[in-house]
Amino acid sequence: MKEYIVRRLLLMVPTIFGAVTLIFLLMNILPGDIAMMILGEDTGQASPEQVARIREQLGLNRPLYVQYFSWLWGIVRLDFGNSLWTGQPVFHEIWIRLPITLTLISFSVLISAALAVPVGILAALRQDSWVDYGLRLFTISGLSIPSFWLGMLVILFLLIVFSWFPPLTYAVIYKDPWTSLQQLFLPALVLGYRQAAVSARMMRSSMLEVLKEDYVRTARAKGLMERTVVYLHALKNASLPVITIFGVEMVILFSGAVIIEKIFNVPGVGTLIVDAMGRRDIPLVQGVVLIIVGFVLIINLIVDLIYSWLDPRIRYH
Amino acid sequence: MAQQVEVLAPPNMQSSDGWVAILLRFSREKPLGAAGAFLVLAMILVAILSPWLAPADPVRTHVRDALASPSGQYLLGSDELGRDSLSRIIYGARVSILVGFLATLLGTVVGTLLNVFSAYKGGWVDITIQRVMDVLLAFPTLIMALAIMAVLGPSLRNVIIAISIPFIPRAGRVVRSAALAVKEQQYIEAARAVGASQWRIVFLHVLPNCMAPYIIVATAFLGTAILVEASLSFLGLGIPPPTPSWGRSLAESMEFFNSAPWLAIFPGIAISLAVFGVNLLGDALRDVLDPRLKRL
Repeated sequence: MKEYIVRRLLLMVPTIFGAVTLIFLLMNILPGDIAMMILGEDTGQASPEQVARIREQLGLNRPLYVQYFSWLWGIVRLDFGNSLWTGQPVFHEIWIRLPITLTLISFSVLISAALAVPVGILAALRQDSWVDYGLRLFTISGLSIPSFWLGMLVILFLLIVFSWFPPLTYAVIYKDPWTSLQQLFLPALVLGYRQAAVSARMMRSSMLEVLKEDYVRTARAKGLMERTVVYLHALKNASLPVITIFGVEMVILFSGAVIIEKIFNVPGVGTLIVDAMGRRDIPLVQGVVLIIVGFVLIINLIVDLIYSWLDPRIRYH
Repeated sequence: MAQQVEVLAPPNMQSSDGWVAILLRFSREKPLGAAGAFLVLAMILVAILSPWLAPADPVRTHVRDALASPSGQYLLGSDELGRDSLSRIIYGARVSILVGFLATLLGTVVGTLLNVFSAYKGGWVDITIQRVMDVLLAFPTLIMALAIMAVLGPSLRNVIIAISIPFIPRAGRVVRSAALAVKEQQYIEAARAVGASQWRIVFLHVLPNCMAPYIIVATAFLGTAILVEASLSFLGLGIPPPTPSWGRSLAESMEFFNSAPWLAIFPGIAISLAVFGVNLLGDALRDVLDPRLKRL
């Protein structure tokens, strides 16, 4: 196991390097002049001096390879440059908003697991009954309804019925855990519903497959109670693919958080990147994308490790 | 991995029946899938026929009728500039359909070609391409689309490009495993033995046999593409105004929650129905074409 962890960690190094390079290429090679974008290309009022000043400020007048190595060297020192809007270091801007986004995402994962596992098991046990069809409708709706619209409907409903508004300020989890969880419950529920839909579908098909296995028949044949067979024997093996999908879905949750945070006014990393886009604050956009990709890689690593711990065969592939 | 996706023509579709018979059988065996196909078809028709279906000009403003509630004149009400909401929703189908289909096509075709070639070549070419794909996979779809839009600037073409790029590695991964399985088949060996060129083998023998997983993935991405387009528009980074788009209509409606709640309802129903139809169709196609891909 130790060897596997070390190998996985070593494999992460080229991936991170690749991601850093890719972000650089995205921002610098794609057509479109960042300096012009920042000045507002549509107004057509930017004077050549202004463009030159912005390029100077961003270091865009240096040769590409110099820019690349200074971007790399900056990342090693956790220096992602300064925000064009606030002038604060990008890393600091992200750092103060990260806890609330991570709380939101973790909370959504918990909610979705609490929904998905029972829904998936129930649908599998009652396959092709009206319960199954009903649950299928519930899950496929979760995949089809855009979460931002669902969020809007929740707010609209609460606004009309209870004159409730999303809070103007959000508490931080490590300062005031109870208030924080209360405030984040609705956004986490909206965000978690979609993930619950994906995981429940997975849980269902995985459970159906496992229930057909020989060892489950053996367990039943030796007279175990159905409950024991399902929850002790089948569930354990059926959970394996679901854990993988949880990893994949964590990645999707970062996308979802961007838009849900905006709707519920949650001052997290998602709101930060959307505002940064609006203000064409390219260094900040780069930094947030990099941090998110970093988290995705860490989550993938953790999922792989859990998976290999649960299913030792993986390690020897 | 190689055994996981065995690509064969599905047994129940191998017969020499005509298309009509196949369609009839499909709708009998998969009523939900047929309903999905109907929704998708209806949306395509609405998009094509929108100039004839829409009761009013979607960009014409009537400031005196701003935020009118649903009535005989404005069936679904009017927005803050007095534009007919129903007409904007009907025209909005165009953007969703166009972006959805083109982005899916672009992303999956590029991903497929790249990966089929990579799987066929093997060796360091394969390893390099796969590492790049791994890196691309670490970027969440919407985040990557947002970053690309930030650099390219808002336009219809750029939205399509921005949504298609995240699909490249995701489509590639599925088609790749299919291609790896096909590569080991005897008919490939036979083709090589009679001296067929590499490209001939890739395009005439490997690719056509990867169609089943391709169709399944493409349908799944169509739904995602429609959702991502709506999200980008919602965040103000999609197709620039005044072109009607469901996502932007929703974003604009948020300011008038109290006075015009209907503006927040109907565009959302349109998005949900479209994606719902695509998902239902996708589920049924997956069952028919390859039951072993159920885990996707």
